[in-house]
Amino acid sequence: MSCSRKVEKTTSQLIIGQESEPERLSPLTIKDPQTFRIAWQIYEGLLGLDVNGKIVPKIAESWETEDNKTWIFHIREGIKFHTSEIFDTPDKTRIVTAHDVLYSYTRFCSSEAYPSFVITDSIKGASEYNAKKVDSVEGLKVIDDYTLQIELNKPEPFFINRITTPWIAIFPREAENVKFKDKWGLQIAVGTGPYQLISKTDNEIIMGKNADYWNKQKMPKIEKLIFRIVKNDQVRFMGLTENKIDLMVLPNKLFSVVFDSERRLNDKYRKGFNLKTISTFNTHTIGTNIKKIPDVHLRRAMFYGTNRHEMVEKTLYGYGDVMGGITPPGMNGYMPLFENIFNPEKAREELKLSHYDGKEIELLVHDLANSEEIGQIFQKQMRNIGINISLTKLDYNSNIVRMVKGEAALFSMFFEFVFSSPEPLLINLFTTAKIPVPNFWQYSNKNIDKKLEELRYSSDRQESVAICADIEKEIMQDAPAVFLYRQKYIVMFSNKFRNLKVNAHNHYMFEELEMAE
Amino acid sequence: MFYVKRITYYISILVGVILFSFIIFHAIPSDPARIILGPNAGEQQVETLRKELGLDKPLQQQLTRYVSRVILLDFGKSYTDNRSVYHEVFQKFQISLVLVTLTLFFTFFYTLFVISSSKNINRGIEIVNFMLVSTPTFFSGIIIAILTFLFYPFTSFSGEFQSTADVLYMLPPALVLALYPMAILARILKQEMEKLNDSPFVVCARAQGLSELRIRFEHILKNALIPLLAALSNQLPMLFTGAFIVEIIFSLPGIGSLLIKSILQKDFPMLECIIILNGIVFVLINLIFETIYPVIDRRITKQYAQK
Amino acid sequence: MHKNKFIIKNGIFLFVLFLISSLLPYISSHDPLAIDLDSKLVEPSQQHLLGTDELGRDVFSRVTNGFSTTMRVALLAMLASLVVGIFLGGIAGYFYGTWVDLIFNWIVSLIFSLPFLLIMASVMSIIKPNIVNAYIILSCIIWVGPARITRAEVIKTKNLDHILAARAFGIPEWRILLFIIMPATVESSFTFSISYLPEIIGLEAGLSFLGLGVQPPYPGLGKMIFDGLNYIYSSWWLVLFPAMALFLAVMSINLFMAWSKRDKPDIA
Repeated sequence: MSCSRKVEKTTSQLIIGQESEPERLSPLTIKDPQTFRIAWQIYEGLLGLDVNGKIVPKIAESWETEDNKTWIFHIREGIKFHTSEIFDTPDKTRIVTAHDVLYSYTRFCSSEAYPSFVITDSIKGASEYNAKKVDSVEGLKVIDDYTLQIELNKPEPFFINRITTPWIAIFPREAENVKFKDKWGLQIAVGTGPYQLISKTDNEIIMGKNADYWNKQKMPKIEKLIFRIVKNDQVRFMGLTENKIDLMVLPNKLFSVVFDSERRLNDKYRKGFNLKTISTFNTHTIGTNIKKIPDVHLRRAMFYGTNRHEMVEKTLYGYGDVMGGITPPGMNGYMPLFENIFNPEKAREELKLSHYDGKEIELLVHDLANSEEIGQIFQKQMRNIGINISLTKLDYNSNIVRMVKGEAALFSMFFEFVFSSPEPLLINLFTTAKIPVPNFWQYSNKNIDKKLEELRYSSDRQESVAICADIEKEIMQDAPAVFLYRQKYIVMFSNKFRNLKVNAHNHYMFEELEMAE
Repeated sequence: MFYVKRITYYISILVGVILFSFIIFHAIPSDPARIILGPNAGEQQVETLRKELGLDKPLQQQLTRYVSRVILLDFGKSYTDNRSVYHEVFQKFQISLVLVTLTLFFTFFYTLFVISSSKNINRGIEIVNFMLVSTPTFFSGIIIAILTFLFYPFTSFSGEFQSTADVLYMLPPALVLALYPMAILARILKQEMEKLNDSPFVVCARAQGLSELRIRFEHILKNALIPLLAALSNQLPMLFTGAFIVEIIFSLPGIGSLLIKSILQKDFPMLECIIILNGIVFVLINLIFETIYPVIDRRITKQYAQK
Repeated sequence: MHKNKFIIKNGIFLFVLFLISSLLPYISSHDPLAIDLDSKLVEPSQQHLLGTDELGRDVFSRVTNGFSTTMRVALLAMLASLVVGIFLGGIAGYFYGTWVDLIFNWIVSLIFSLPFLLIMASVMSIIKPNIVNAYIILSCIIWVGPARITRAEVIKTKNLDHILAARAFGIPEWRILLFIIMPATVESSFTFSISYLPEIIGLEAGLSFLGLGVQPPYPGLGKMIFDGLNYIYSSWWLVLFPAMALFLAVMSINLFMAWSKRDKPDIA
């Protein structure tokens, strides 16, 4: 029970336990998944993704394209920003128009924007704007107050799959007004979403229902959201069991407390709590730097010698899906391509074909997710087939720097895929042009480059996605990385509530949550 | 005259701190622009950001820019999300300040308790001391955190000091932070007390029939005070940034956890500001203590007079 | 002279502790690195005396090895910092008021005023991150603690009557410094350093938090306690035994110190 704020007994509220301090709630700079949980209640993009992986319209009501190169978005009329002092109008708000969308998208192409990689390579003129050579993006054009035209460099049938995530959100230009610039994201955050910000400190964020939300079918039923930061896992869990918080994501280390031997919720907790499993696009990988491990047989040996199933069963208690390639299950067009990828005999065969001399290969692990644990299990599994791995643990950021510079032979990485379709994923991660970022494995194959380029001119999405599966299979013959698993998160929450919905982008749709009667 | 000398001395320390912090951040190979933009951004974008932040300029230029800004108290914007470094550090420092003050209270009262306690309680204190000193902070911290959560009513912190509940929330973390200084000071005190117990003037005072308490406070304490204060001056500056373990366990947004976060994110402007703040705190503490020392020990002032 | 006995006794004790730590790995029952995912988080049993950790490794073996590594490195770091600290602190205190003292104070103040984590993190990013390197750098920072205390004590002792008397007797300065002043002052800093030992060991956990301590999969005592805290609800043995090991070690040091002090004769 919070002792610092009086809450009326009649307002329904949900208290969420957060793992770390939230960043500044500015869509341009947010990068932490826990902050997204908060920010995406306030901010929305043109489109969204429902829990079944289908694209749904949000701020954009409809869209069309003739050649997959020029896209027209029709902006829904009547959407209002949250009421705030930043608006100089009598009712303290403003209608969202195509000009706002233009402004937001332009800002997202700038070099200060963390999510700029999502759209900068696609939109015409965005790279020049990003490099500060021009002061507007050529491909973004306002046709009229409710119509926006986006022109791309090259045709992309999958362009809309880039923007189904709220990473690219629409926010008002008044945010950069000199008067409010310093407070933006700290005390003020204005978007169009189902909840609006009431207050924010480093320990607690309070949001209230947006009574003027444009989507009348999805009006929030819970009036207040309180995000409370409890950094320590044990204390947060105690908060949940003592009913001081209502909802939290269960960290792996607490699985042994919550689950009984049959992997079901312990009797102790079944009375008061529900569990929800969330299948996101977050995957865990052990990447290889092809320049440092040029021997394809050695890489294949690692690929076949990794028992991913063991990792998922023993470390994640089965809450994960084994992956051999890069497309996670649930993504548009996923096909289970890799059967029997764990094959120790084949691994040993490949090892014999290789020139491996027994020298230690360095694997970088970091302090997030299960990186250290997985690294140690991988080390053991490799030893079984005859490959020596040494572990070096650094913090996540140092890992990234070394990975990008190409200094690490093997590195443990987890990906949060922003795109909801395999085409942009493959293009980003495996084309030569994308070396060294984000093609961290420095994979270069002209043949694959050509095939990926051809995807742009495919007219049938089904076909295109099937071709992706073939391309992926071909790429994995070269074993540029050992993809491990797609993690499923478990949310434990009080059964006072029901209907918790979270999509594959890890977007918590609290507007659909309701009290259980 | 004394003060002028000391203040000049300490300003030279601050200068040293400022220069040292700058050297550290530019000598070590790191890539703040890459860290800000994460692993997905293209090299070109990272390069653009590098130019914006001035990280590509030669070292001397960066140094002069840095020093001129610091003198004007402009600590710039954080690398992670562009917020004002000064405001952030100032806000978190307030929280750390309250925490340290409460810690000092605990330490002070515990020390008084030790001085005025009888022989039997002394034995007990020795044992407690052993235990306090034998466990690392995070261990005792978690135990106390769990106990607190179960039995103590003030278990949430709103992030600012809006009510007494917020201040009372800080008592358990202050206690955890105080455990180590308490034990150290108590032990030094006991050592000094034992040493001085059989010295001539104490024996004499006892023979005169002065009360035990009075002897303790007037004679023993005065002599023990200097090593006590020396130990305290050792501990005190570390209670600010060194409290990060306690801050993380109790979810307190103070300077310690800000330091850790900034180290991990290579947020140079934030780190520079914290270092300088830490330096200033250190200087102030030392000035205060140095003013106290001569007042206590006349012999030392005699030395000054001789010089 | 009598004071030296205290130092010598404790010194021998610490040496014995070091020796025991070096021999401990030989009594482990299993390979401390052997992962066995089918026996994760097993309670203490016949097969595994102190249970297993989250990767199925035997806790007893990990505690003995971790204790060995952590203790030896911490003891060496403590010793190095103590020796350097007493030496420099003593000189500075003796030359109180002169430029020697001034420079000493300046350096000590500088080191004190910098958050040590920052220095550690920065330097470690250049050299290879492992536990030995971490503690070498640590020694270069923590010598200031004993140094300061020694200096304060020397200043206090310098002008006590028996020193002035010794001078009046014509005993040479260096003799006075080495044999009368120093032994009387060393005790405080020695006590300080030994009391600081658990923190030094605990620092190893804090360092692994930043990725600077014992590298996986090798066990380190502080890291084991730190990681074990994550499982405190379900698998209490992961925290209890390393913490007990640490506790026992430090307690024995403190007890020995107290015991050796009891037969100390009076100060003149």
